[in-house]
Amino acid sequence: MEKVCIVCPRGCHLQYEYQGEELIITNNGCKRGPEYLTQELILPKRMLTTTVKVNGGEIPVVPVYASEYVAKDDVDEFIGYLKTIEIDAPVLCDTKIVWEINGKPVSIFTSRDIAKKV
Amino acid sequence: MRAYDLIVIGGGAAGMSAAISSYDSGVRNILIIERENELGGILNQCIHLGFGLHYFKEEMSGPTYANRLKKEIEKRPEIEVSLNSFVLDINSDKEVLVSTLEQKAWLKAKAIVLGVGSYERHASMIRLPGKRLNGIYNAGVAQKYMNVYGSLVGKKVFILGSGDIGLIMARRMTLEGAEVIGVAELMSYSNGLMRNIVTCLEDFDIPLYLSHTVIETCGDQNLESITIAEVDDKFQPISGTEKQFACDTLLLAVGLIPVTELMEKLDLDLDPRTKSVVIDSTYQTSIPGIFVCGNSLHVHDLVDYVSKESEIVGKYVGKYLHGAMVAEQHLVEICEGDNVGYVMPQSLNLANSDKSVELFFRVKKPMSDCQVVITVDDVEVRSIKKQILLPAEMESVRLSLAKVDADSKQIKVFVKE
Amino acid sequence: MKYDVVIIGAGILGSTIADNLAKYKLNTLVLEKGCDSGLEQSMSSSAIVHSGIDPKSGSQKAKYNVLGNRMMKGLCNDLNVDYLECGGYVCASDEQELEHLKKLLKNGQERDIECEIISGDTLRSREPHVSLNIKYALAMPTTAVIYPTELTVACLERAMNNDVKVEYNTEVKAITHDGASYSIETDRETINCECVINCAGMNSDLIAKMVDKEFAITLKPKRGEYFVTNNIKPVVSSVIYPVPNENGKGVLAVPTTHGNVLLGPNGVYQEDRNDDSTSASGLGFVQANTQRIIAKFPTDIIKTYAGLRSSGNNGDFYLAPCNQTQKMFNLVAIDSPGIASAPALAKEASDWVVNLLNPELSSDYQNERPRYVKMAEYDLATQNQMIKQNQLYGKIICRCEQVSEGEIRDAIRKQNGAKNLTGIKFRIRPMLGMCQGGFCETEVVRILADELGVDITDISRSGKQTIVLKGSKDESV
Repeated sequence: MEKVCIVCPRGCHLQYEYQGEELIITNNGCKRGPEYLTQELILPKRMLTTTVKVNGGEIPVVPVYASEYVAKDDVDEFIGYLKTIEIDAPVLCDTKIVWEINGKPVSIFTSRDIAKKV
Repeated sequence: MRAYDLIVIGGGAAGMSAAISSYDSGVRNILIIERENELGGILNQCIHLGFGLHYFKEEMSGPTYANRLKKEIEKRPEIEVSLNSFVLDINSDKEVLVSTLEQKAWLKAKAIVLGVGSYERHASMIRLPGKRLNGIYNAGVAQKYMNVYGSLVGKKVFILGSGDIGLIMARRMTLEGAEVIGVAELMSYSNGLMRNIVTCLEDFDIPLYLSHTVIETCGDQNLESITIAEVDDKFQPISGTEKQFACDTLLLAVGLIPVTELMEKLDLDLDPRTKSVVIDSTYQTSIPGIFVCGNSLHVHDLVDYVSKESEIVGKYVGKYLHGAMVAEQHLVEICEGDNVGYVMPQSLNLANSDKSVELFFRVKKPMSDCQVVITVDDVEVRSIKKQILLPAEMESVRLSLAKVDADSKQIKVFVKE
Repeated sequence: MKYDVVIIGAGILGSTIADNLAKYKLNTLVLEKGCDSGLEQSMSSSAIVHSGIDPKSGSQKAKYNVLGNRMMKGLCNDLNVDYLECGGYVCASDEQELEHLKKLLKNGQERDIECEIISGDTLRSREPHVSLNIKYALAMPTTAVIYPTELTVACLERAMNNDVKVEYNTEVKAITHDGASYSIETDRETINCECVINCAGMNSDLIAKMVDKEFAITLKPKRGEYFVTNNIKPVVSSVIYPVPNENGKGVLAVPTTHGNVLLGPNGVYQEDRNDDSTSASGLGFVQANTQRIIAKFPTDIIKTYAGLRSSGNNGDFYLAPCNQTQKMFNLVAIDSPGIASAPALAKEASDWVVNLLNPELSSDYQNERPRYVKMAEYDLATQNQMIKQNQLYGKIICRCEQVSEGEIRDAIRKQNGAKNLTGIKFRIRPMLGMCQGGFCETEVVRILADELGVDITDISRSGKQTIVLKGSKDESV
């Protein structure tokens, strides 16, 4: 089986197979390839950024990010939740606004300042 | 006429980084002129992560990167910031005409840094066929509507251009509830990072059509469909390969071009390769004391490199304003050789440069297991092995000035496989 | 209520006719199917006030072009809109083409139009980018250029200030005449009136046929594609024509009133009355043919577009009262030189109304129509006074064309003001520069929403069919 490594621009075509329990990875250009692929096969993770509605701010949405990469399968659910919430201006950059979503711990931070609309 | 030691035009990553570095090189009495109502420039609409890994050694979003630079500006109170201000005119005596909410006035500077950014190639520039339909947007415009105004430009989207901006918009619009039906790329390879191809397209099963372009846009007043076709090696559509897609939006992510209006007002010549002015290794134009950096000099792939470059510029601004530069200039031409698109800077200012200079370049095509070679008058002075080089990524090599002397005529950078 | 006059079409003809009739005690209504004035053929024409040398002797085109050229400057000055007296040159590359110039020269002498034949070198001393292949040129100093949308907006603004009504987004579906008055059925309401002026451009033959089934003219839409250059270093400063051929005036280089240069058009006949598409082949043709007159194709192209011409199957303008009902005046097949002829055609049509209805002159007619504020046209001291009064005159929104927020807000607030992005674009020029709105479109949307008191998701590009934003984040949940 094959998967393209996304760690660096080289994009190695990693070959892998299972020998019993053991995962054998070949055709990697460096050791970061197997690390990436092992994680990708067990629990793929993705960064999460979106915007959240702001009440009474100079602009109507604030960009937010999850401080750690989140499970790929959780992305849709988390984005869906973040569409439903609203926060009030003023907003300060790097403020934690969400601690968990549907029982799953996740830290969502704002990524800019937004002043109150005058 | 109000006078400053340094006027920085543009308060994005380039302008802020250059101002901070100039300050740290001892320059005071600095003015940053920014046209929007906040510093940060285009970073403010790039809400995804991936910025700062090289420059701040941590991964952050565009707005956070901007915020980080903004805080550094605030720590340096002698840097004055004029927001909602726009430079209308400039002359070689280093006077600028600025329009603000208070007045329109000429200001005088001892040195000027231009960090005015780039603009997106648009439908007319690529001669996109069809009517002037509602629903055809530059990717960056759609990005601002979405990430700053909180509004979507469309619900069924096709994207032309697979650079990182196109790829990131594919993911972003999908997550916001739009259906992205495909991405077409004129070249036979994507200009985006492999990471983005996987996480922005493959994760959402969005097809990527390499060697394809849009040959038709249809609709009455709003875009209703587009047709793409495969192109041959001369980029001409191949008949019989047409595919039609119903969509209400076409995003164009087809490249950036440096903003050069002010440089043209100074009558500076443009380099057809970078579409911006020619500078020497002190980042000065042919008018001493006028410096250029960031995307208005050449289009960068990472903001980190913009900051790095602008930091270098700030140091030379310091040197210039402290009178440490000699007026008599011996410039050694720096040019590109095989497989290299362009090299920045375009010449070496031998007397005024640091002990070594960083040469930035881009390759013309994807290359692997190759060697970057620098020659001085056709004599090899440096050679570096590279595993992979991509046109989308800016590369750099360092050249020690010990290898160059007053008799040198030409420095060349090329890549061999 | 019954109107005295209904004008169908708010292009350059409808607008100038309305402006003429506004001087009289008449109830006048202008109907326009589009969202604004002057957005169809007027906008996408070459914008030239031709000298009148070219049309065939004895044709309506020759008559009205010559007259219109003499009237245009006064009209533009009166309305405080741009009129660029740039002059024009017809270029000949060999002795055979020189013969054609001599014919045109003779036309000019007969029509009392100032003109002379000069050498290619003399032309190049004035226009250095003209091709070295050009050996002779016919100089026509009275050729000029206007900004057609500005003129239509100004005409209707003055007309509206003098109680002419304008209904946009209103399409005429049927017209009947009961012997006493006309009943005009639109997609919004039915309107009664005493007389009708049909200057509906690309649909003028269809409108004429609503009343007179025997109406003889059928329009043949002709599409022309153009390039527009940036306005930093314009490649020409006067209109450069090749020697005309049977297909029309050929591919020209035309300076605009804003320092850009238009290169085009080609001319393709088609069935479709709406399809103003550009094409790779059409633009390729224009590029190739530009090189007949200009040495090097400009590299600073910022825009491509196409416009339609309502060419007739008769090869000439058609203007006459309706054969059937007498109180309807048709202006049909007004293609090139329509812009140049517009003031004279409008006079013909409005004189016809005046003769028919014999109205009194209005006693409180307001002639003054002030120019839009364009900051760059004032000296620095005046600009600073204006910024003191309204700080938004200092806030630049369009960086390419250097348009301030104050100027944009003015263009929305004025009589016949802008209601959408296109309206703002053609009134005050943001989004028409090098970046084509890449930097400022989002800002203009914000300003429009604020001025009109609506949400940004209500803003349209050009009328309610073309909403810019398809939804806010909340809706996509």
